[in-house]
Amino acid sequence: MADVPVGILAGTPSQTEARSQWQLVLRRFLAHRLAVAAGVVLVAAYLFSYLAEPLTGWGYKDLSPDLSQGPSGDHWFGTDTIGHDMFAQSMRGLRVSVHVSVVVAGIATVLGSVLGAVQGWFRGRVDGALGLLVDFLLILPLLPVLMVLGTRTRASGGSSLMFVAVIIGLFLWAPLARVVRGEVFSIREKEYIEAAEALGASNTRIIFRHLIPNAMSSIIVYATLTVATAILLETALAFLGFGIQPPEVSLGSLVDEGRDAARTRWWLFYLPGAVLVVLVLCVNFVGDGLRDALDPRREQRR
Amino acid sequence: MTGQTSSRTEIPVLSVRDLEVTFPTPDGDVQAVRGMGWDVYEGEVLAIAGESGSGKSVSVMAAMGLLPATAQVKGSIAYRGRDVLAMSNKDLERLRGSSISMVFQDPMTSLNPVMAVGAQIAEGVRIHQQVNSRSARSKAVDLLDLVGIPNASQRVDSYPHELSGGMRQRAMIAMAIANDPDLLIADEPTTALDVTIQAQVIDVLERAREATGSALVIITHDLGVVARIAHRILVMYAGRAAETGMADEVFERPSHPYTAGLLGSIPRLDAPKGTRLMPIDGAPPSMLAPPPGCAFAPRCPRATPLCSQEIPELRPIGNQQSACHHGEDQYNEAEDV
Repeated sequence: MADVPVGILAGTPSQTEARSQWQLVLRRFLAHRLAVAAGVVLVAAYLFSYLAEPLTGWGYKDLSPDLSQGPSGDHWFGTDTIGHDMFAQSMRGLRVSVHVSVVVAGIATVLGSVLGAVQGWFRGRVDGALGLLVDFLLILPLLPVLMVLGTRTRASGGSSLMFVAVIIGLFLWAPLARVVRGEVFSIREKEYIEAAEALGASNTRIIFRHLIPNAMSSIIVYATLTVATAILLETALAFLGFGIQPPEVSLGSLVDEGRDAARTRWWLFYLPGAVLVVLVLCVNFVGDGLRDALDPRREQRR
Repeated sequence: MTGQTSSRTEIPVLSVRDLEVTFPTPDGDVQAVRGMGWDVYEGEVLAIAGESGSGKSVSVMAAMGLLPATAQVKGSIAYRGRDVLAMSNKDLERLRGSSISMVFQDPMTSLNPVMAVGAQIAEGVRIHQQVNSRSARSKAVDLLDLVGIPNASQRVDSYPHELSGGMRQRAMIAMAIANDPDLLIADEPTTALDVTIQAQVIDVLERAREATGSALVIITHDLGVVARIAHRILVMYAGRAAETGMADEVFERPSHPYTAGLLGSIPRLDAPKGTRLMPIDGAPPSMLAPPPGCAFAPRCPRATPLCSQEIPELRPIGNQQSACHHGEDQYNEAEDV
């Protein structure tokens, strides 16, 4: 007994205690190198966007005397016709796009998973009623509707950015609800759901503890797609003059403004475009890694 | 035998009477259970035996209120005198898992693949008891220990796919006894397991039953399982009871040709050397249109014209009860052997 180091004996139980489900998920996520790299880039880029102004000395609203210049030590991404520093603008746009897409994806994912699971679990009339709503949202031409709502926000002033994000989110949950409903139809027939019922689990508990977690891989994949969709939707709105209003910028509006100059002043189009592509790619890679990490059946042997 | 007579004066934990379960299908009504009853008393092990489709599982699913909504149920099922069929959903939820709990057939699919086994056991505890997550977790460890899972304090965090079939079935049993149920129902608990661990799991079930003092209803088509732990046996055929009695007595002197056929079709160590296994000819009847008389008549070596006209009622023969017009003959013949 005396030979055994005390630390080992004392340490063992607490280590077991601490190995919670989320730590397992984290461990599996960390094993996914591409996802970790993408996540690091994502977080770093987001944090760096706050450093852009102190580092380069240019804010996104500032107008410099240098007009239409290519990338240089002073203006890393060059300047546009009226002297905006494109690096400052790109970083501001990155931040705005991230905020909008996270809010959109958050709202759409929560609504879509819960309502989809409710549809699949209760079936019958509940399914029918929610199904009608889903169908309605799916056939609705999203862009015109958002444009109408966009005009109203412009008229009322206020913080239109988040308002637009919430509105987009309220419209984007329908496809996910349909996916989750389908998944739940298959999961609900599994024996472990019957076992949970036999254990006396309530409907709420079955939906949140058993159905949604088992549909999680689809939900996460869909959430990442939604982030991309949200960025693109916001881009389209910005292009049409709705949603984000100057001097506010987003990656979408920058790319759209730079589109005409793609062949003559390439930096106005390709540099914000590259930031946009990297952003969306990273989101997708992180989604991949999360899916693998959250689904214990996918665990790779090491 | 004294235990048997004295138990008759108690109130049964679960009492099933005149149960009929019908599933409407596009081809017609499938009569899964066609009028049967059974009681199970405190601390008793009742085996419900029969082949696939004889209505064994359906009759206990009805007792837990877990039949699909399309099923039409008639008769009565009483848990300690309370009618289960008339209970509200809330009352059923309270009943399930705490008073009556269940071990399912296939441990590979009966555990949620995305939850650690300990978390699933703890969930069962927290549904029915006001405890914090820490004590639910330590309860889960104790339960895993009780069902013989080595290193329970580490295994509590394992996911189902990290455990073997036998371990998973032990975890299922731990889940089922987490709230000290009065009645434990095991639906073919060993069917999906390797032969080598079936006996272990049966022992674990028996230990779990002793630890909680609950009654145990074990559904099986494996008479070896019955012989191992059951006090009483109910043999089902085509949705009805064929025979019921004390397990050892029924094994010794079956009073229904179907039971005799089942016993004759399995190898026994105590059979005289050179005894041939006798399969039962034919197949069980379609439950869409069961035969008018005794459902076993078309396959029965003792069948007479009476058998295909009149459904035999369950009646006492010796210490047992048999639903056979020729039950006495069967009973007496068994004695001669």
